[in-house]
Amino acid sequence: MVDPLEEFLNRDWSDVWDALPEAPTLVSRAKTAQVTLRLSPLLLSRVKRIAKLRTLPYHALARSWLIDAASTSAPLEVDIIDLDMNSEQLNIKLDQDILDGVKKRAHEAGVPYHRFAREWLTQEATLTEVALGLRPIQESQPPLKELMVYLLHATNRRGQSAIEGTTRLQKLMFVVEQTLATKTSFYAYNYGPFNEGIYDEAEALQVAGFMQGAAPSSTTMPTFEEMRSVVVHRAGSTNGDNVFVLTPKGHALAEELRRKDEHHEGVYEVVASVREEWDVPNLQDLVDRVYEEYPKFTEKSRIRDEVELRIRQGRMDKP
Amino acid sequence: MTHPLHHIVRVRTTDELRNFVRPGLLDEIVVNANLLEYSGRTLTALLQETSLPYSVDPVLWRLQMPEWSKNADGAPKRNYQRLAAHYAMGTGLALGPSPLVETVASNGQWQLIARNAIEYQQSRLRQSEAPADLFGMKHSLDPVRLTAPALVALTDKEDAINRILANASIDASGRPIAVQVIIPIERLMNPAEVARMLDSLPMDGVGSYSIWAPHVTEERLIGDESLFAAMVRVVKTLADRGIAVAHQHATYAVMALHDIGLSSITHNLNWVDHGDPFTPVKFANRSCRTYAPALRRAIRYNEASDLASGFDADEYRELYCDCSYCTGLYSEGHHPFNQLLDTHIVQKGRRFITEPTAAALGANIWHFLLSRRCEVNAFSAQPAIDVIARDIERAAGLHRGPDAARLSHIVSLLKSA
Repeated sequence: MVDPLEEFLNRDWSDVWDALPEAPTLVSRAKTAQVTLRLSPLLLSRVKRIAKLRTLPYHALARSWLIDAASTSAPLEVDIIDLDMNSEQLNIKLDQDILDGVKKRAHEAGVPYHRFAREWLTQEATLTEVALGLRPIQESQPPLKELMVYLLHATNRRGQSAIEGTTRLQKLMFVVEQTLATKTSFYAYNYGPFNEGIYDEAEALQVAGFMQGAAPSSTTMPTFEEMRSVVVHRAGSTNGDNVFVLTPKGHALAEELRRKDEHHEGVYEVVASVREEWDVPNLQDLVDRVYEEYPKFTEKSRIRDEVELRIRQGRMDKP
Repeated sequence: MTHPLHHIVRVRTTDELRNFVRPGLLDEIVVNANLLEYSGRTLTALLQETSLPYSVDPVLWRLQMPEWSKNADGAPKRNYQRLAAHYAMGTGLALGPSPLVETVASNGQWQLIARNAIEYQQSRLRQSEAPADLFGMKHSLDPVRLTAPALVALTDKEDAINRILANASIDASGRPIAVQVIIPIERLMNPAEVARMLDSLPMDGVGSYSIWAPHVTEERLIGDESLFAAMVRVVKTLADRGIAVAHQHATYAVMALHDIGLSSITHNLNWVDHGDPFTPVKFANRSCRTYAPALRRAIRYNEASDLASGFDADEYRELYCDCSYCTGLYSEGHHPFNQLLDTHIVQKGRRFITEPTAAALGANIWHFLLSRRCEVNAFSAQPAIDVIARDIERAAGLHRGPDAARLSHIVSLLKSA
């Protein structure tokens, strides 16, 4: 007896093959897929800056650009570069069709689709910056002193320009530098990323009268009143953590610096966006986020376990 | 009497330079190179503000043994690592991880290190100088003197290296330089060793010799006749060469050597005398001690209180201290001890300890600096024996027999020297 299935499979179907209907998908594909792209901190800042101006979530903006990539035939004109170590993740949900389109474009360009997507975002960011009249930002190593002046000139979402406490200043300066610079001057230390140069820069700004603090030493022999005032100031300064505030002269300097050229203005805008996004009311939240996003800088931390536990608990508590 | 004693203060923190180191209270500032590596920007800004001359101590000796530049956890300090990188430029060596005399293999490498150390003193502050458009230009940053890097002269071997370092520094600087003479106590006690060491020092191109005997506190110096005699011999021998002689860790008894040729003294702003050791000082609790000008030494708070808390303004000024800070406090109706001896209780782990308040520490720095300035002025203006005689009288007036005897002992040491 002939097996009907065997007979069916052995039959010659070549004459009718093209007329046969498509077989159904054995396992249906999800309608959407999550793509994780690794972007330089600077590119991510640029995307965020544009998104802010367009009052869009930056994920949505990046997604819209990738949809464009899949649906147009515009060439990719930026150079394809290798990403340095200081990259950040951007997770985007895309429809499968769109992802297929991006993959097809990447295949045509002869590069992996992650890289194609990253370079496409770079190209779109540049074009949009030009269209919006934004100053371009170059990857560079701005002096810490300038970055600190900008950081203290900008405000957080609560409208405060003062920064309370050395931990907050250290962490914010770290994020600013990670966002803008090609090299880092911070290193992993007892409480996460640290750079003793931050204290040096802050004190130098105080001495030069750009930041509030004790009056710099005078050039004459001190009177008793001056000596006493030093003692009184020292007595007061032990009662609380430092508050870092620019003087009016410091704010004027910040304005002068940012108006210097387009590059400086661009750097200021990035610093301001970091301040707005990262300078949250609760210091622990800022520390936790730094530990979560920059784990490489927490390797020597004495409080890493404690922070990680807090982060895990925070995730579980989220609805 | 020749020139007045030149008064130099070694600043250990930017806080000291910013708040306490002021014209009229001293003649010159010296900054350790490691502090420059830690707070270069602030130091630059402060030195641009002050009208006082300054110099940089290259502290090469810190890299001499790995243990001498480590922190409390036993890890190398970053500022010394950065300094080592400056000094090693062009040698291809890593200075610091192992003993320096084992790391540096040739005279040429020592000469290069010396040139780098001189170049460092000339230009390091300028590297931290803010751009003119950011901070505005102040007066130029040129050190008043250049110092040859040196090692602690443990043996003849270091003597030979120090000579190479000094001569290379003289060639590199193109002007007279300061030569450090760092004598360990073991060698200082041996006249033959001292003679050999002093013979090894160059003379041509030397602007001054700067003596330092690590671990020699005032009490140790005056408590051992032969040690005091050895120090006198060193000062005298070098002064006889017609070259200025400085002491890097001056105390009251050291200042008395002005009469035999000491021309300059350096001290830091810590009134508790640890003898300026070359091994790192471990951080201890803040000491409840204050400088007692009446006795010319630091004493405990309770001792000071027993001594002078009952004095009225005139008695205090006459018998205990006439510095302008104490006088100012009295003129406002406060006994100076209310501030100088002010303490609070702090918790350290499971222990509760008594510490001076921040205000007391600040007040004591003024009080000590002003007192030391008065001493410098006194030894500059009068023969040492006359200065000490007045202090003996005061100590006796306070019924401090042992202190009067201690000061008398300094006089006999000076006379026998």
